[in-house]
Amino acid sequence: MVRGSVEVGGELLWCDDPSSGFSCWRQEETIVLAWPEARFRVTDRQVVVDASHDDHAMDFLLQPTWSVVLAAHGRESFHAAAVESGGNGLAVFGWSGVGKSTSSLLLVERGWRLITDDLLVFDEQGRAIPGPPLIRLLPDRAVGKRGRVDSAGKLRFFPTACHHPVPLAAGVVLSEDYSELTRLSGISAVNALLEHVYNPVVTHPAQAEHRLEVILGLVEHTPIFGAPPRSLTADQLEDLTGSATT
Amino acid sequence: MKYRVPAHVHFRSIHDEVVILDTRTDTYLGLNDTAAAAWSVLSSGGSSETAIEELTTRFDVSPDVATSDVVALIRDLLDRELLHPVSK
Repeated sequence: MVRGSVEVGGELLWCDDPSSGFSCWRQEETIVLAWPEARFRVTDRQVVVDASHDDHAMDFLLQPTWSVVLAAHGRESFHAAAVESGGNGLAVFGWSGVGKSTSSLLLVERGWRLITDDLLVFDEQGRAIPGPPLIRLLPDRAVGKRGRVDSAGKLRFFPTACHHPVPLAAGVVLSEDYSELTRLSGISAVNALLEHVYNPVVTHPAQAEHRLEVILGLVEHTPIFGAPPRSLTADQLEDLTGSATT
Repeated sequence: MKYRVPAHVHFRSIHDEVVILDTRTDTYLGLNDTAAAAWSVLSSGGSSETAIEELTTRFDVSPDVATSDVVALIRDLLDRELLHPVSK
């Protein structure tokens, strides 16, 4: 990773809602990610950072930019938190605000270890790879927790973390699409996971095929559930992993 | 009428269902179990008539409904260019 000037332009791949000002561009073999506060030029070997404020750069680098680096290396990433206990992982998929970090925290407080807070990646064996060992908590969830508040106003809380890849025993997708806790099968599980890939656009050759293979592998070997946002208790979350053997 | 799967289409089975990927647009289409049964016939070179027979044999569905479903499925797949007709 180096600092440098990053020019925006090329083929526009994705433009987010105007409030965030985000855009994603392709320049031959390079992907450019641009926010008003920071820009990144990503190849499979290097990330060039163009930002005036390190905290802003870190926020965008940790997940969205890292997910493009991973894609350049053939790894798909998902909007999900994951925790581990006794060698079994539980992934909580969902967009911002649905309760991923809160779910992780519920289980961390019961002795589970954090695998990742917001960006989930799998290795060749389909195991969840540990991410940055921190949970970013909204102020109302951070009461009594120690950590540093980042530029988005969230507390960076460092719980006990898992440091090795873990097979998932279950996954749950938190979404308004579900009115109650539901086991998802086949296509419904595939569609739910496709909706939670971190980068909805394809930035690299054969990524769409690889993305499908990763998801099919997950659905074939792991029970996937759907549930309304912020609806699950710690008991219910723990029960999901037990369901893998039933 | 028989059909073939064009080169830009990849598909994979998951349980009794099928996911189709159009690699030109990187878009995915899921087929439920009945549509997947028809797809299985059509994608392997079988005719629409054989696909209709497959549905009436495997599912509790009348020939009229099976015919209507297969015709609608084929029309949708042709529109999306996920299936091409084979010239006689």
